[in-house]
Amino acid sequence: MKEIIYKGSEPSLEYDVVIGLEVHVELSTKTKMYCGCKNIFGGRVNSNCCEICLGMPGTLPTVNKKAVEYAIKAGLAFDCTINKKTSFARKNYFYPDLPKSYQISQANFPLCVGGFVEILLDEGRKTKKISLRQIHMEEDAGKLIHDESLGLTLVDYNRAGVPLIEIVSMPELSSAQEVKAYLETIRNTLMCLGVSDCRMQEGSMRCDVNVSLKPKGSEILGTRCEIKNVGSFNGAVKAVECEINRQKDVLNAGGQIKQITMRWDESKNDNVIMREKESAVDYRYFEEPDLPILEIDEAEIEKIKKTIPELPNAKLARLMKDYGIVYADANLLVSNLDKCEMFESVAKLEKCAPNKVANWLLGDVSRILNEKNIELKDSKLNVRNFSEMLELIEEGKISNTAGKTVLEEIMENDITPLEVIEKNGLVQINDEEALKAIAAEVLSTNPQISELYDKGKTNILGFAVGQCMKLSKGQGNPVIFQKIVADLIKRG
Amino acid sequence: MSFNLEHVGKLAKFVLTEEEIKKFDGQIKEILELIEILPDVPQNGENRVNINQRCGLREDIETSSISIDEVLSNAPQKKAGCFVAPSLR
Repeated sequence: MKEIIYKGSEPSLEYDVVIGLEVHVELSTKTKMYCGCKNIFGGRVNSNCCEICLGMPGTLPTVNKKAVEYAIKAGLAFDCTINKKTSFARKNYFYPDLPKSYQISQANFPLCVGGFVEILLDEGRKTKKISLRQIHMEEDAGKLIHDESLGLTLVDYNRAGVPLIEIVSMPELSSAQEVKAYLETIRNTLMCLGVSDCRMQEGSMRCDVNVSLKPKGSEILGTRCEIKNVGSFNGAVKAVECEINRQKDVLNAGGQIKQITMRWDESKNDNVIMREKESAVDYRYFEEPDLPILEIDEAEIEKIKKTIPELPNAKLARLMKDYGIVYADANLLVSNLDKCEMFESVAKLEKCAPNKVANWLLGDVSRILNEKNIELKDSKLNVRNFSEMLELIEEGKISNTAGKTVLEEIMENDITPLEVIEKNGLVQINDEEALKAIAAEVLSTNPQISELYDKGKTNILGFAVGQCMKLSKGQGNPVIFQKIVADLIKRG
Repeated sequence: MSFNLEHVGKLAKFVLTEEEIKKFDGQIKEILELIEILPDVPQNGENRVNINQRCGLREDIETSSISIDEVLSNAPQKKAGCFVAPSLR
């Protein structure tokens, strides 16, 4: 499709939003793309470098087999065609993050072409297929650290040469929400395949977003502007929203969209112009003379195909169908493989309803993990102690409140739920007489409860039950308390 | 072969004077003329890129990196274990 410059002359004109994305994902291989240096995040600056990734003259790259395998795996998961003959190309640009002054990427013969990413919208009720142009392999650049006070830029080449795949979409996304769903689907899929950890906070997944507007229904694309290096899902959503609004304002005021490149500035909560693009950056691509054409065997592709597990969209649908959990919960579970596995293992034991397992996992378990800033696998929670805890609650032996105390302990220490209950005296009191005595005490020390209830404020019961639970040190059965308190008030 | 020295200079972040442009323009054009004959060199029936030559792949096994001192040994300026580049902000 041709590009045309629109003059937005009618302020009331409605626009179609057209968005295309380039997503860069670091592959979690042990070593770099073209040399054997370690591929790890962090570590001492410039400690994982060699003559090859530093671009010393006379060195030659060799392609990492695992990286190719991972890239093919990603391509197959997104239904791409794998090119049996693929070649590498030099993308030339002169910048300090690039020791060779070129990046070994792919141009004319990328590894994967076509395919699509299916995104779920409207709580999973709608799906949309976003076509892919290609997925190609390349290497990451070094990291620039800007020292404002000294007016210097420091360069760390540990990241230079880390294997990347770039997933290039067709311009088929049409809102910030679709961008978010698209990024989430890519992340969940690649994590599920085990080819990347997709940690946006560590920069292992980043994207460039192209946004343009065209009059509603028009076939011709408007001038696009690019936002580079967006490093978070929320950043992507906000950057897209800001850009759509900016372009609308320009067009509605009768102006023209100029092709510019921006970057998302988290602190300013806005896009910042990087440079005006008078012409496309001249990367002077040419075939990489240091690497022969890479041939891929059909047998190899078939072998990789067999290693592809159940993918997130299918998993999400199955979780909703088999366990009757809601979309929001299923969506959160598929975004975290460990939690998802724990959910299924525990739900299958049928100690309680699957939605309760999901609620605990996504509620209190996630809260505790967040507070401690650890992952599920780093805690002591396992299928056995978690299901025991749920069973104790289900059988009425402990209350939900006591369950929280048990959870804290079993996630932290090598202790069984029963041991926690014994140690802390958490056994739930179901004895009505004992509970009645507690309720009576609460009502006599809080006379306002009865008064408010008589005035029609029946929701004061919740407060009363809360006070009863507090007085019983979390041991009272809240369901019985509810009944007793109501009875006592009504009897006056 | 079309060639624009100013454009190439800009891509390489070189600031060139009028005199330098004139001088290098002539020199580079001469070099280009030399290699321009390459496509016409007889290939004896062989492809320029032998597509039957398979790209040798490397197993994903770590080899040792070089020391930070070695990494930085050619750096004109270094700080805190990093190369120093002019401010880019």
